Amino acid sequence: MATAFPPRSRGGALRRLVDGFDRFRDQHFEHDHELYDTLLDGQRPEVMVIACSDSRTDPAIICGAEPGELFVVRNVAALVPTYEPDHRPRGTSAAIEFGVVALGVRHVIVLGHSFCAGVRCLLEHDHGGRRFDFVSDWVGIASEVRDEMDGLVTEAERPVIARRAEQAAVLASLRHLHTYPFVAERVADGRLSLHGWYFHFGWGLLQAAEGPDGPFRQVDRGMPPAPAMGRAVAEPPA
Amino acid sequence: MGPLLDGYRKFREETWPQQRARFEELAAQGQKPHTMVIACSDSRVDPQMIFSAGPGELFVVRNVANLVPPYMPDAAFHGTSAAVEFAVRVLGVGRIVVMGHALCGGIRALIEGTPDAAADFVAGWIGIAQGARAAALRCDDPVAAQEAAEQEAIRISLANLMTFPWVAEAVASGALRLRGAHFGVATGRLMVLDGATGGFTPA
Repeated sequence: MATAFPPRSRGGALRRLVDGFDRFRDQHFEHDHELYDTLLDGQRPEVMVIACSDSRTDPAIICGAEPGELFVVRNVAALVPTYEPDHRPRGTSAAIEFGVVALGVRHVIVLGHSFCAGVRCLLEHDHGGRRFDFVSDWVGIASEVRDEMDGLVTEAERPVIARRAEQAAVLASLRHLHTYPFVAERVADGRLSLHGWYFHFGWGLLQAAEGPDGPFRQVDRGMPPAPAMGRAVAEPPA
Repeated sequence: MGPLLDGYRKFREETWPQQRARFEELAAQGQKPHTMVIACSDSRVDPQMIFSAGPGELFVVRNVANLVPPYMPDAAFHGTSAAVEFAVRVLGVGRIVVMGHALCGGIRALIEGTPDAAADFVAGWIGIAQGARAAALRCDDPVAAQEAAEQEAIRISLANLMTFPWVAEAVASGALRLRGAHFGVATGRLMVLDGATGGFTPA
């Protein structure tokens, strides 16, 4: 695929984006014009994905999604803070409210991934000796994961702990999601289900949490994985 | 969920064999994206698709109405600010693009008011772009008002980015450039903010 993704050069980066845009117009927009026309009436995605900002884990690439399918939040380490309606600007909470309440999505997927630098920041207490203005506090949202992993440090190797922490962070975000009253209510009555997915991009494999406490199992052919919380088939509002 | 897993299988069968070497290299060496994109959560405006970007190229934040709050290091949970900090101070991206879009529901809520059912967080968040409401109120036609507010919100986010000291430093030294863009969902056209005139022109 050297032709589709030529080597990067910093000077030509904007040029490459504009060229990419031209390819998008040719490949997607002209091709799917009918789809774009229907999307003019508004978006009706059934699935919301909370993914990491990491450049290697685009949920639309991994899931082959089309325009209109995924309502997407991307932040450092795919984290969800707990419900705290204090009227301060909270971007991820606002998007969850918009997706669940205003758009009525039926599934929320928290998509974690391997080699996550945000989770590494969380595990390294001193953040590599560098004090951040925002990153340290942000990853602290999942501080329970750090506490959980501290007990393992003497028993396991670093990469093993890192992979476990990345999956534990997905489960922590699912627990936090469930603290939002409008989420818990919809999970309870079957309108919404919550999924914890983990993309191992070194291997190109996707795993799904079988329940709120895991374990993560490989997604394979056959039956789609059950949600970590909620019913397998979320139903539209009556 | 069915279509997503079908998509994943297609990724395994088609994309992964083609991109495997790139993913493995990105796993071994880490990411070095050239550009950070701040885009809307809206399902119709995936920056990776719009820029035909491959894995490893774009560090992406997506939030409601692609907003950036001003610099407030007050130990609260600032997800977007944390991502900007990571991109600029750790990854050293050369460019940040704030990409707005037509038919933005977040901007519509700013102009028309947030529905009561979604008042816990959406109202507080889009309040970052409160100044864009004035731009909308100067227009008679609702379509023009919506677009004026979308464009003004992009300018506000770019101005807010400059309140982060390490963003301002990197811009001053030429290591970082800030760009604004607006995607027309109906037209498939990208408009780019012209720093000199403050207007949007076709890319």
